[in-house]
Amino acid sequence: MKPKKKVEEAIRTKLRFTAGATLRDRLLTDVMNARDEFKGTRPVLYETGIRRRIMRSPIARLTSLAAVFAVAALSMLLWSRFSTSAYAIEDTYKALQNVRFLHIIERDEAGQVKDERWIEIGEDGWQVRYRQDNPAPRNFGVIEDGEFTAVYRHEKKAVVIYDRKEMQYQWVGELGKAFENLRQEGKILQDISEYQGRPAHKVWWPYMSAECYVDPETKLPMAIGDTELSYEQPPAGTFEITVPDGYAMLDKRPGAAPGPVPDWLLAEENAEENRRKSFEQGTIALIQGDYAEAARQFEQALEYDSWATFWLGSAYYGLGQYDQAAEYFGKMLKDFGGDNKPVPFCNYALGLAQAQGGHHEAATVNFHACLPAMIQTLRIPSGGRMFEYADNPKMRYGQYKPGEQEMVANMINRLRIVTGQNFGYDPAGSEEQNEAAVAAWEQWFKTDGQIRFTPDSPQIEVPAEWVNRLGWGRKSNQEIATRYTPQWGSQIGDPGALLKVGFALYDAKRYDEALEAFEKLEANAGDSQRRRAAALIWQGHMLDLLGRREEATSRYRAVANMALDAQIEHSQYGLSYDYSAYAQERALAPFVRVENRDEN
Amino acid sequence: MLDDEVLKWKFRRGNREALARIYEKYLDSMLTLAAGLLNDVTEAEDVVHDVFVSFARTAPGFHLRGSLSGYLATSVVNRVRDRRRRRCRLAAISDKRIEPVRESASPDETVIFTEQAGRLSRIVGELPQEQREVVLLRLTADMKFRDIAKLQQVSINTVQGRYRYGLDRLRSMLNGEVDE
Repeated sequence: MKPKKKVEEAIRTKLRFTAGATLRDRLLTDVMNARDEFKGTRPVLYETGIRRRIMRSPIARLTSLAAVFAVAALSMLLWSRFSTSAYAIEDTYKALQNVRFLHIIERDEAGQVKDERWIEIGEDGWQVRYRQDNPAPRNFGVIEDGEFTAVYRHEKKAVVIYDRKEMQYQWVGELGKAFENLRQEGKILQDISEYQGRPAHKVWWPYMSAECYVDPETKLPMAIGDTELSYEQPPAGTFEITVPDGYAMLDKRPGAAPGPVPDWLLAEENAEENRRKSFEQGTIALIQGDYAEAARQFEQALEYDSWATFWLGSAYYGLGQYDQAAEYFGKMLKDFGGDNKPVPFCNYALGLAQAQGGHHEAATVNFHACLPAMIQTLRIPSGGRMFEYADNPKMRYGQYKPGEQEMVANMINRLRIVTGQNFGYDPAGSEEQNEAAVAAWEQWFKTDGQIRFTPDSPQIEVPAEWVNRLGWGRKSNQEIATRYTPQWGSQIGDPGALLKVGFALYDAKRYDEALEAFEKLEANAGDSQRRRAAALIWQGHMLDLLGRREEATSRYRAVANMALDAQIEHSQYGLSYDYSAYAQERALAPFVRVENRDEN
Repeated sequence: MLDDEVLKWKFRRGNREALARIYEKYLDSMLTLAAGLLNDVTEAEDVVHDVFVSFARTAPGFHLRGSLSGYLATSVVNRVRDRRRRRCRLAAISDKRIEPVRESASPDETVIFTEQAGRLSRIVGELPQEQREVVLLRLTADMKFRDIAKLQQVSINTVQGRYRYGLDRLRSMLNGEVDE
């Protein structure tokens, strides 16, 4: 028998097909011809318009991200991963590639427009020009012409002009990324559905944490959650900055002549800065479990960000003040869902606070409202992302990024609390066992679905969370290494936990397994170049220690080529380096083992 | 060598040289992948031809966050699956198997591979379809398990399982054939 490594190596190195020179040239000619022919007929969209790369600068997200969180009650399990469908999400992705303008409308419960936006999308997937109008009571507007940002404060009869690099407004951040996410992770929920009486494909869009209705003809989304979308050219002047009659213009662009800044603007700016600080400190306190401090800080930050409201509720919940917690969870629910629409993670939190406070009837109503989404997460794990975000503010800062298995395990834990049921789900168990458990949950939901609040129900251990609670020193690493088996490790998807596992196995000189952990870290790095670079560097270290120098060098070169201008510190090993510069050094001289100097 | 990110960027802006470089860089690995999946060199040539021609046409709207290699490999797999579906519909499964190039053939006109590569490809061809895809995508196109999972629409664990089972089977089939 050959070891698996040899089989891998044989396929990697010996299964090689090469095109002969003539064949190569013939194919290349066809490829180039195709490119040239197509270039002549490409759509007009790509011929004109602003093609500026937008700097990612401090972004003021003053707007509500209602579209992102407007999660309608999820319909039940009509999607099957094995079902075939005439419609493919790829069609929508392709259609979106040709979109130049987005027109976005949100209405209040009376059907009046409460938020209207126009976005011109650049070739690179970033927004180029932007307009937002919020009529009373907000009385607010923004126009970005590609160079400057004008903020309209109608109640003050003032326009404040900023350099766009200093102030930007967005709808959902990077649109290109959102589209790519739909292509990669979107799921068809219902091939044939309807939206406001029109036929539609119903799709789950993880980036938006929302259902989306796709027009079967154009293949473009007509609505995401409660937000309507269309793609027409905006009226002339939409992106032109103008100063209405009777309005004062306040120029905040760098280099502008310093003029008098009205007191209200100064006061607002100071207050905004204070709220920002309070919000950050509140988040840190909540992560550390200092609920009293978190509550104090979030009280000061309520107008800064919608999440201050929710996490203020979490802080009160942590303090055991359940009625106050319910008040703030309820406020968040109303802000995002209005009077009638469920927002599953809010309903869940509100239900918990009400149940803990002894208001079982109200709690039951809220648990029923979030149950469909919770059950659906067992099949479409990204449906649990907002629950994770709500439970763990670290996600906001990129310090926690649960994998699919973690989201499912956490959701099972929540379901157990809400229902008192236990269908034997085990993240370390076989796929068949867990499939049976998920099917049992679905069956239970269909036939019984009764709420039974059971706060002390047995909980599944989620390895990533256990790992994240430990430190980085020798003792913690020893605990992790003792606990580690490939099966146990396979349940971990969070990059932070994977890095720690890799270090623990490195400390224990289990380099092969450490290499696997760092490979998985690379796979789970997502968009983070730093994570990817760290993963590759440590893969290189392990390969060096395993005597596989050539492979190690290729990892270091990959990081050197990333030309990453950022630093990382592993103080427990006395290491501190610039990613790419260090990788370049390691490509020349192999890594030599260093010992962990921290105790815990 | 130009980094892939730069190549993608230049390609999107219509740069001919970037397209040529991408083609040069990935032609052979995509050919290997297609040949392994189809077990037929002529069909593999066609698939790779179609993949690159269609890729060349995507330039203006090309937005890709993932790896180029993963993108091209996904295109190869999709086209291979299309062909297989067509074959099934026509119920005319080709019996053309991979044979190594003989000395007498004109190597420039064709795909070149060693006898051992041909044998390996045949053995890989014995694997069930899903396992074959995982093994080849991982080992010839360097694709991540996560991306393979998305392509196959299954969980990453299932993909890792398929990879393990695939390697186990190959190991027993290759017994004694790997070492040179």
